[in-house]
Amino acid sequence: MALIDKASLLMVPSTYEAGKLYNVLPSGNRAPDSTDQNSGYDQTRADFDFDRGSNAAATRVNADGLIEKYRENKLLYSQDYTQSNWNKTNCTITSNYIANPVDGSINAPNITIDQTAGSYEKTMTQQNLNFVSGNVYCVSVWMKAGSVSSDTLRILAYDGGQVHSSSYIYLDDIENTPCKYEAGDNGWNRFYFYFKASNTAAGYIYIFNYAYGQVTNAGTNLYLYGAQWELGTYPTDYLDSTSVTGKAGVLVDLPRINYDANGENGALLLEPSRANNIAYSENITNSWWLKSNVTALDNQGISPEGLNNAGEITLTSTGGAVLYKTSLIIGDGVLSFFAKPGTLSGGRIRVSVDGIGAAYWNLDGTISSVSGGTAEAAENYGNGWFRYSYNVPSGSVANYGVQGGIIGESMLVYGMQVEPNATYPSSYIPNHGESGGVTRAADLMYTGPTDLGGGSVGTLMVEIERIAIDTANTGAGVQLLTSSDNEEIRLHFDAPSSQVRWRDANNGYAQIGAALSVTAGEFFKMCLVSDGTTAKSFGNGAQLGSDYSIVTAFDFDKLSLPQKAYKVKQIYFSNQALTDAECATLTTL
Amino acid sequence: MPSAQPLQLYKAMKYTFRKYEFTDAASAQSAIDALGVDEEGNATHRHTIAMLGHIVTTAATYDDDGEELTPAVLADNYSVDVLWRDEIAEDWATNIVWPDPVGVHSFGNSEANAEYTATLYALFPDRVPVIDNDLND
Repeated sequence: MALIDKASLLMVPSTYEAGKLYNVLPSGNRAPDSTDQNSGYDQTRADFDFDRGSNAAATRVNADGLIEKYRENKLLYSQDYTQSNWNKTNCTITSNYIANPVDGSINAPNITIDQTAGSYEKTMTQQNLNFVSGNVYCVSVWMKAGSVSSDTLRILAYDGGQVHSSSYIYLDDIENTPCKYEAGDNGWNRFYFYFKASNTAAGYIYIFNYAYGQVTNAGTNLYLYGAQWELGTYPTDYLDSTSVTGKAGVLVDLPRINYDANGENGALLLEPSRANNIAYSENITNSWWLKSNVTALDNQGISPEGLNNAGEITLTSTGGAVLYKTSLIIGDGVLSFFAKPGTLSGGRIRVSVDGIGAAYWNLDGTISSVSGGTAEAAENYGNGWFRYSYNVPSGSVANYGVQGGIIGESMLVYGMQVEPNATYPSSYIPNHGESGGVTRAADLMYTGPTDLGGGSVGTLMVEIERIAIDTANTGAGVQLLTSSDNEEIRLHFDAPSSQVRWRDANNGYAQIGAALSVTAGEFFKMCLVSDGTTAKSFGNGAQLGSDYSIVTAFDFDKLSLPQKAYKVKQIYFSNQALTDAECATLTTL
Repeated sequence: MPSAQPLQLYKAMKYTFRKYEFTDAASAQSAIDALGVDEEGNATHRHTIAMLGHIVTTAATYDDDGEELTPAVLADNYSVDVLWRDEIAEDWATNIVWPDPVGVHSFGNSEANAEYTATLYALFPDRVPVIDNDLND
């Protein structure tokens, strides 16, 4: 009989939705089909439950090898301007007029100006929008030239106390238009601007505006499509919204299947709670950042996110050329950032903490020197991007940049991060203006209380990778529980010794078999088998240590993966005690 | 501010974001430990807790060379943010505070942030932002 036929529970990180990670087994469980009718779906069998109370603070590397965030279009009816959510002033909407610039459907409206030039504002707004002081927002909308005289056309935001305006939009002279835009097809262009709100208040977004006294004539027209208001400095792919905001990406309770930068090796990413105390992780022109021997610009190149939202620093001195920030809570923490050093011909990448020390990397990502803390080779994120991290015992002033570079040379940067109380960098946590930091909640995964079926006979195999070996990630990594959550067996993570081992919670956490030495960042397979009287441990294809005599019978009802830092490629559970040969086969890498 | 809030405001969502102040770190830690820890010191609950400490109420100022001109002013009280999962510990109500949305820190949960904002304005209608229609271009 094949091992899969003996399994009663099997998980591989292939199908998932918010709050659930579907089993391959029990038989019949699978994701809803393309009709969303769940045909063949056995509703009586539970899949894994999944918790993570953060969306905007969580990211993953997706199958394209790009950092993926939570995204939200905060405008309502982003394409249906006939709705009462939109306040039209001196303009008329004709719906479904021409093909839209996204998928070509005939649903982009025509906007006709009703009043002639002079003392009439011509605009369309969405009102009662909640702005948060200090947050960085981006507003974008597709526009296409009609017959308007467009030299004073703008996009605006009013945060309840201050007006923020795009540069002017010249629909009839795109190449010379001052407003930033993404070029589209068939005369469409996506115009955008970003700003930092100055007030926590209710305000407006103006998706087009001719202010009082500005010129265009009655009867002239333009076309609009896809208004979007979101956090950040650059517009993400358009998200359609209705009576609720449009959402996509890493949602609350959505398991994160994380891939390597080449889009391979997808595995379920489970991380403990972490914070990013950098208030503007992507907005380096913000005055929050102090600059030493650099000039800074936003949105100057393609970031590891695949958007044109990488910042650029240009060196104005051969000495330390850095973005820096004082009065940070770093503690015993980790500083990290992404940079693309390929445009530099000299110097070293630098991350440092005043009064503590510095880490320097060569331009190829190899470590050059470290003092005052610890650092390793930079992590390659592809397309010339590396992530650099530096662990320090204390400090409050963080520096990110270049040491000993050549004046006038530039480098792209992205995703600055300070994680207090940490020894290694976790996945990127975007922060668009929260001065006290943003905290990503931990990932938790577990079965229902009786999904394993009970009893003391069973086989559990996990293929996982410990992301780091640190004292904050010791204790139970994988648990077998009773239906009332009493721990029976755990796969124990040790630190600083780099090993894992099965332990019997019913017998003072006695070790079952022997421990397996593991390496951070490398997958391993561990198996526990119990026939009711004897338990054995297998790791990477061989039995670990000797047989273990069970003192108190187990009751395997529930599986739980608690708050630790690891990746999961597969989980296998059988209500049978597999043979030694089968356990060896099951754990062979 | 009221010291306790109606419980029905607390239970609408799986995750609820609230803010608290304690006199010092020790009293904050005591309240956190009371939520449950195992023999290894790991939390036995599923709430997410951020100990913000004495937050900056007035930012430091610097000259053009980055030298500090005036130091930051810190709050007297010790701030703790919690993302409650399902149930809120009722005995934390005496320490709840309601800064304008969403204070200086969040858990990056857009729905919980929106619920915090809506609850704040329901409890304190006089703090609902009023749109200034006198827009001066």
